[in-house]
Amino acid sequence: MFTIDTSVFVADLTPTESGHAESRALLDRLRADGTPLILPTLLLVELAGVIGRVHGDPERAGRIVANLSTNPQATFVALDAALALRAADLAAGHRLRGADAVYVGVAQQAGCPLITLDTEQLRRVAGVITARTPAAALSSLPHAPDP
Amino acid sequence: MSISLETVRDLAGQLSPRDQVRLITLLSAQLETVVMDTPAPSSVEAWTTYDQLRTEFAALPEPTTSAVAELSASRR
Repeated sequence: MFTIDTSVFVADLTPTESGHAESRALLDRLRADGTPLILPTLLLVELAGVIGRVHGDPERAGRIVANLSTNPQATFVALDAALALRAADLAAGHRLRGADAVYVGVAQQAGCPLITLDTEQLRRVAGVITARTPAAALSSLPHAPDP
Repeated sequence: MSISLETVRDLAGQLSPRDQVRLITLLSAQLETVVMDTPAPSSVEAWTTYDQLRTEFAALPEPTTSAVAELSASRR
């Protein structure tokens, strides 16, 4: 079980990103293994926003959001009052950015690592939860069985 | 005879608050049946569509800025 940051999906969808190959390899592996993905609903908003801004393609942004939000392998966690209070505590106690605190709260609640390419997020949340890059997460997984 | 949503809304507005609650309860039960009868997309279908979107994104013009950097900046 993993919580995946928006940056990993963004890099997977953008071949020119430096983290593209590792993000794609990780998502493909998690998909093949049927690993549950525990994601904040915030991911959908961030993904739509960054695709709209960088690719200038709101129509595809809407389609990718619709697709991910209905993927049975993904469980989306809404920012309800309990999660908001947890994230607020984390943000205040660890000087996290708002979005980082939401991701940490979701991962902490689920008891799973956070996978991210956002170096600032990675640096800030280290020590609060286990956070890894897609490449590090891939190397932590047992070798995939031969097809 | 067909009836518009606006007409239904106007009629519902004439109900007592208690009957409006009963109407919502009735419609919720009907909606639950519809939702439960609609099969959720399988994981395979969802990932297949995701693959198609990956291909479409790969064909888009190269962005002038890093999407990951843009995301990180938007969080500050």
